[in-house]
Amino acid sequence: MLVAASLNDVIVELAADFERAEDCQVFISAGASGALRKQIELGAPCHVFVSADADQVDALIAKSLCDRETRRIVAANQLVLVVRRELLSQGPWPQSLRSSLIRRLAIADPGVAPAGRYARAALAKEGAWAEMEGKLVISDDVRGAAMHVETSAVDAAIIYFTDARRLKNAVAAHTFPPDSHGPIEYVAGIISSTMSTSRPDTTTQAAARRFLNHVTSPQAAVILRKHGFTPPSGDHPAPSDSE
Amino acid sequence: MLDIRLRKRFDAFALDIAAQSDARVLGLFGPSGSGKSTLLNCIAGIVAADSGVVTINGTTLLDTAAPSRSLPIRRRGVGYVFQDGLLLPHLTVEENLRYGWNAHGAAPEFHRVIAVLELESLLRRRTATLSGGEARRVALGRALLSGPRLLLLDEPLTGLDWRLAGRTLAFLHSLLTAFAIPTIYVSHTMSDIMFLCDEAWLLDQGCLVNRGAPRQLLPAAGGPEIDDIYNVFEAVPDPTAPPGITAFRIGAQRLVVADARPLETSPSTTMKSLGGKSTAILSIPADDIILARVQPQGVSARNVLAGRVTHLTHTETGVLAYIDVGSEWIVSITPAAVRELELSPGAEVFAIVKATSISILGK
Amino acid sequence: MLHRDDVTALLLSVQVSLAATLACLVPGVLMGIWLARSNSKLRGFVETFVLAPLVVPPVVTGLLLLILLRELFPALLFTWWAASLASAVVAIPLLIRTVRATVEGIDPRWALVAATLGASRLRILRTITIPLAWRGIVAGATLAWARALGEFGATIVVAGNIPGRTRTIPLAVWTAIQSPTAPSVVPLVIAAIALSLAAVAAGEWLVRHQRHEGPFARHTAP
Repeated sequence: MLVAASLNDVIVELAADFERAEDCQVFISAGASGALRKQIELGAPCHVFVSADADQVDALIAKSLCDRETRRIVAANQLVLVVRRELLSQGPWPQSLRSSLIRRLAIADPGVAPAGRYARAALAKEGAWAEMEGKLVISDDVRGAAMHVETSAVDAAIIYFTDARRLKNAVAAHTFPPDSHGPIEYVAGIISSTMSTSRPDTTTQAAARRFLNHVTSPQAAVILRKHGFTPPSGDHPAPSDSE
Repeated sequence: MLDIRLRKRFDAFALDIAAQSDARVLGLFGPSGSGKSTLLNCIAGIVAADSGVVTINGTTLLDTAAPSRSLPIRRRGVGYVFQDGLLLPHLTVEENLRYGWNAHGAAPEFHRVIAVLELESLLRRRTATLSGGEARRVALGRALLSGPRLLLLDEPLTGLDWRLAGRTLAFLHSLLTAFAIPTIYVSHTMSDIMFLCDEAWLLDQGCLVNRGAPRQLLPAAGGPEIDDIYNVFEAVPDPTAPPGITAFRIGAQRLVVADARPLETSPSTTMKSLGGKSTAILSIPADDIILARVQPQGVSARNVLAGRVTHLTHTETGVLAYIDVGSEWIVSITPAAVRELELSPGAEVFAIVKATSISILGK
Repeated sequence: MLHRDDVTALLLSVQVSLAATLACLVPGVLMGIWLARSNSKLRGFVETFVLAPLVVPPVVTGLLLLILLRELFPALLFTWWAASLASAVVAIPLLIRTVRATVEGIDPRWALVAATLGASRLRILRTITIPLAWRGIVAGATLAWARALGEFGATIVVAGNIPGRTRTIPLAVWTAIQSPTAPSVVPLVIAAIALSLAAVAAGEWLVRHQRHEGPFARHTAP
């Protein structure tokens, strides 16, 4: 399985359940969705791909690497601005981003990770992208951006709600409305063939389908919520739910 | 006034010297391995002595009992002319010469040193392209130009072929005469020490075994490495000599030199080239002088000089007769000859020398 | 042929690597000479410490630098200064080793000769040791420069991968092979190789045009 970085923990938990129920081993590799797609295109062995946006999966479908019928949305997320704890009261946010209080802002790389694109879109909607560009610290994936603000290497970061919940030294100061960046939906698909496999392995393919069903089951929805994700066709949790 | 008290121990060798000297040029004579170079290295500071004191004209160079009074190498003011020359390879001749300029004290004037050592034409050259003799002269000049209080010459003639050695000897003489700097001159041959030095110390196995006037001390020193004795002396060109003849004056007598093995010019031009200088340095092997009690007639040799025996020294290999013909010469003869000719100090003798036996070393 | 971002990465690489090499130069040469000539008991310890970045994984070096910078100069993080610093730290051991080996090969008698001619330690350094070690210094600096050009692990940790500011060539290539929408990485790779070859050629030129070199000059004792 190749999964978006932000999904790592929840997929690990779901996979543990799956392994117990079925007699099947799940190997998980997480990273920026764009990078993962590139890897699949280059032949990395993969049966299930979960991206933080639809573009990557759709691109694979267009290249006949991903099975169109298996495409489905498995979860949703929100985009938040987190700042270092001691800066929280110096709001209002996000307007105070422009002030000299914030010397550096971390986001994921827009060229490689959907989280970066969402962050750029959100800043552009605020009219702040041009101004903030000089203060940006760009990380390979959204987890890296979260680490930067957690270790106080930067003053603020734009990351997913699910990552922000777990930070100790930084708190969410503002949730970006969905219309500023578009819906953040995790799209999954079964990889039908990669350049490295000559024939799809039907047993594994069947297991992969069953795993996808597991991920979209009602039991999985509980676990998703627990981690701060929104199950498909559910309501987004409010920020105050996260503590 | 040089005061040397040094002890230095190596694995197989121990140096132990304690002596003073007022000589302007002090000669150190001894076979290889006798400690001469070690002594120089200790004085210069390149090797640390185990114990001792060295002072020159009141300045302490080293004092192991009072290390604060010992000077570091760069302040000892010792001009060391190494046996290997050791010209800095990445600098030109001129840069080498100027490297230590005035480092230790008022140096002699640059152009004067260049003139005496005839280095003018070499100044732009790279050191790797110099011949052995040229490199030695540059090394000499370099040491001189640092204005040293003491000059150390480590076997400057060793390794040179006899012709070059003769020329270098002449240069050394000019140098030591022109720039009066206290000097220690090391050699394992005696003729150069006899010519250049005021006093000689004999070293053997790290110890000072004898000291005295070189001409008296060395020929009698003996030992397995005894070399041939050459009489090296200065002489003035003879103005009354007929053209085509190279001749010099010793006292009131004329010495004709054929020099069939010219150093660099033919006999006739040598005379011309000497025109600018006042004296030449000549060399006659002690073996090539024949003595007679009565004035010989009809002898093929061109030179018959009258003189007196000053003294006789008996050695393991024969007898050395010291004679005065206006210049003091050493003549080696057999004990039988001494008896037959009834030679004794004060006796009148005639010295017979072939013109071809005399070499002109330089000016 | 080269994308605008590629040119930026190229220029940034040159800037960062040159600054790193220049920063290494004086301390590296002096340390190399000291290690070659010193009799101090500390020598072994210092040597191990100074050569450590050679054997420690660059990412680990980067992490240590990150912790250090966070405490002392947080303003440097994620700037090209940090990228230069990271490159300098991983490159300097190469310079030091090369210089040390060269100086060890220089006949110690030259320094003694200079001392008898009154030269102070500083003068000996300036006029004897450094000129005679020149080849080694240039070779070491070229090596260091090449290492700085290729530095990735430590750089990405302390300086991040920020286009226009710290995205040097290695980081740009890394990003390009990850990004599904990036333009072809081939022109940049060719430019990177060309740059490295230019570094080596520059080193050769410097050695050949040393001021006192002649075609048959030898630096061994006669």
